[in-house]
Amino acid sequence: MDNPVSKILAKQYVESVGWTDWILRTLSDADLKLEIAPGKNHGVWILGHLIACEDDFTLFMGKGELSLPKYQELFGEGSKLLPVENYPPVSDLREKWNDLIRRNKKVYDNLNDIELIETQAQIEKNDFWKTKEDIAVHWQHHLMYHAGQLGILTSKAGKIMTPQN
Amino acid sequence: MDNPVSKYLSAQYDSMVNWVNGNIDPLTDEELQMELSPGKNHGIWILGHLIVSDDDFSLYMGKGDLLFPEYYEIFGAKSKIQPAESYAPATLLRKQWKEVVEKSKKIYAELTDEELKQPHAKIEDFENDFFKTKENIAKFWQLHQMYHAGQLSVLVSRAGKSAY
Repeated sequence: MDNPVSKILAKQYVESVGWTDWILRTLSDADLKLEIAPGKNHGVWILGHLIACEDDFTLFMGKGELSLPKYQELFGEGSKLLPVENYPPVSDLREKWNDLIRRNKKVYDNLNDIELIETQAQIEKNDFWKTKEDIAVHWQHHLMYHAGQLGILTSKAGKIMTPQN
Repeated sequence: MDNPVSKYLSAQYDSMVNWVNGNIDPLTDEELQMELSPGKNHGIWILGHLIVSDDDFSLYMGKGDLLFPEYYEIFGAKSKIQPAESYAPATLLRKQWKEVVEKSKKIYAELTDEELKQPHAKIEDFENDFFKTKENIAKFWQLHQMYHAGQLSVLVSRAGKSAY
């Protein structure tokens, strides 16, 4: 069994993370403190939110516990936006983001196509998504959705996106 | 041959379009004229850019011509932003977005996994081409649309129509 769908999902994960990382590398710690619009989310919340979502991917896929349970409260959907100084320092967030990406790449590398059509592991708490494939697709789309918002910060910070960033 | 990857990409395309529509539909024509921030892209440009990006999918897949070649320059990636009123009206852009989506849906419905491995149709130098295959075109075009959906969501939020 060569698991063609798992393989394309694993490749697409690397590509969507690569795109997001490129933007994160372009933004300085100070740039991440900018808001995407007045009174709206700042880059620190968005990065924390991306970490919280990479973290709970493992719960929905049935691949282990949260690494950073506190981040679910701080950065989960619907969490109240606070001034940037109430959150962990950007350097910590960057490190935790990298750790979770490494963890999830392994999850993707070990996926198989039979597993993808299984019911996702949090179905009793949230049945909006039915299968593990739905989880992978939605989590990757969600990542790109917020990457687009971080892209606004590169523009606000006057940063040019170049392949060298 | 059941073409599992093509079927997967087709389903993922539908999911992406639902998400994009979820950020276009709540915005009125006036709200689409709002800028992300002063002097930056407005919703009209982003919607036009989404149209162009789904339109040229058929060129890269070798599945036919552009529906709206006149948009290629005004809404392309490097195009200079003009005031919102210099572009086609939002009602027309909404309709044209639906038309390019219908065109792309047909392409996805007929895709085969063999075809996905082929070099894309606009390739000149395979080794140095960033995308190389039709599979990569499909993936990156979808990710790109999600990226801009996230930007439209800022307008939805500014219009007071979303939770965050």
